[in-house]
Amino acid sequence: MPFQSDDYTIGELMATRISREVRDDTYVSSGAASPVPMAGVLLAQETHAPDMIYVPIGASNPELNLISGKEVFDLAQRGRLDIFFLGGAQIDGHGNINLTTIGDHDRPDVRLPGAAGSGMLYFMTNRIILFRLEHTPRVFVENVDFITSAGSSGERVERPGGPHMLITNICVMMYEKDQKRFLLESVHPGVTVDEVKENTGFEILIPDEVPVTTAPTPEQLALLRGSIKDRVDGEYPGFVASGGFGG
Amino acid sequence: MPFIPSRGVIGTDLVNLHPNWKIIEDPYNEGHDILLVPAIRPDIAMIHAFKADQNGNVLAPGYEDRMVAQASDKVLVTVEEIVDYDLSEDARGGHLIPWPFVSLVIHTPRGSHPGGMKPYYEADNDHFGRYMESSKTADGFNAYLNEFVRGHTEDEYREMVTRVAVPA
Repeated sequence: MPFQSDDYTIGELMATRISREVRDDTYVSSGAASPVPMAGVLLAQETHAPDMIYVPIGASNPELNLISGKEVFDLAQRGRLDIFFLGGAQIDGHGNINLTTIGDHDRPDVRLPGAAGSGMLYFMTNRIILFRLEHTPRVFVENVDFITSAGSSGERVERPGGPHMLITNICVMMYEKDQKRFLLESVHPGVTVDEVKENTGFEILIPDEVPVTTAPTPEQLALLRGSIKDRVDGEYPGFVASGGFGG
Repeated sequence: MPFIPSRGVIGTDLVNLHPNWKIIEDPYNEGHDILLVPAIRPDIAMIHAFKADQNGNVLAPGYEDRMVAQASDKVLVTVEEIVDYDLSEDARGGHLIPWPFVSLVIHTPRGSHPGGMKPYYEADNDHFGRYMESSKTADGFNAYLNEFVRGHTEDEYREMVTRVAVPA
């Protein structure tokens, strides 16, 4: 059974979990098509991280008009970007992501938008949060068709950062750097561990006890459905229109 | 700049796609490798931007637009607006490409269509959907080209897709 709740949407649950990762006095950024990460980062800013600086790439916020993609890339290369969010048409069990082509690269079944800086950001951002609203075996594969960015590197590569967390519409996983594998942290309400396994094409590390993802509090929901909803709507009107926020 | 070093990227398939990229030992970081990417020198760059002034200064949406302009031999720029003041005195809200890096400016309002050009207009997702549906087959794409591109001027295209009259 997919995620089920009468009290909050899947986007609100994911945003609430994401917000816990955001630290005060850091820089955080996100790219295109990231309404759930944006809601999560703004929730952190409204609660425990008031001095975190959020610099989403391509935002139309006039306060940010001197911060473009270049400045975000520069912050990452300088080691000052704490969190960036990446998706992936495919994500594999070792944290490799594919944003380039599905199928044979020279005769692809699907040509995707491309790396857009992720080849560098995945290495240089302190923590990358991977997110997808579709948790299926076609997305979560044992090996990606094309490594647009690599989940891990050998010792000859200077790599301060990398994958940290993977959050989807059914569960949360944490990246175990030593084993280069994902560990199941929690399942969303209504979802079983077996369903996570069935919908994941790679091997997952599963502890004996897997809790349910912590629900948003009424205070968090009020913030998400108030000023945060308005700001996300300014950037992603489609997400709000399609019921991304409840209430 | 003949080439640029970049962090990251080593170990991705992007490296395999570019035989002219090189991985060397980082001369400032013993025991570690670094990726080198050679300069691209385009003959012609085409850029769609916000504004141009009478001197040929251009205000563009992306930082990479200026880099593309500086790298290229000829730089053709289409713009939403041509203004009668000096853009170098008002570069807020964009990225200035100074006139020595601009060959030609063409006034082309709605020139990003079906893409968006914030803050002028949003992307036309209905048109994108139609384009994607049409391009699934060769016949479909041909029909699309016949309807919107072949035999039409830019002004006619704009009229067709945006129902916005061409400014005088």
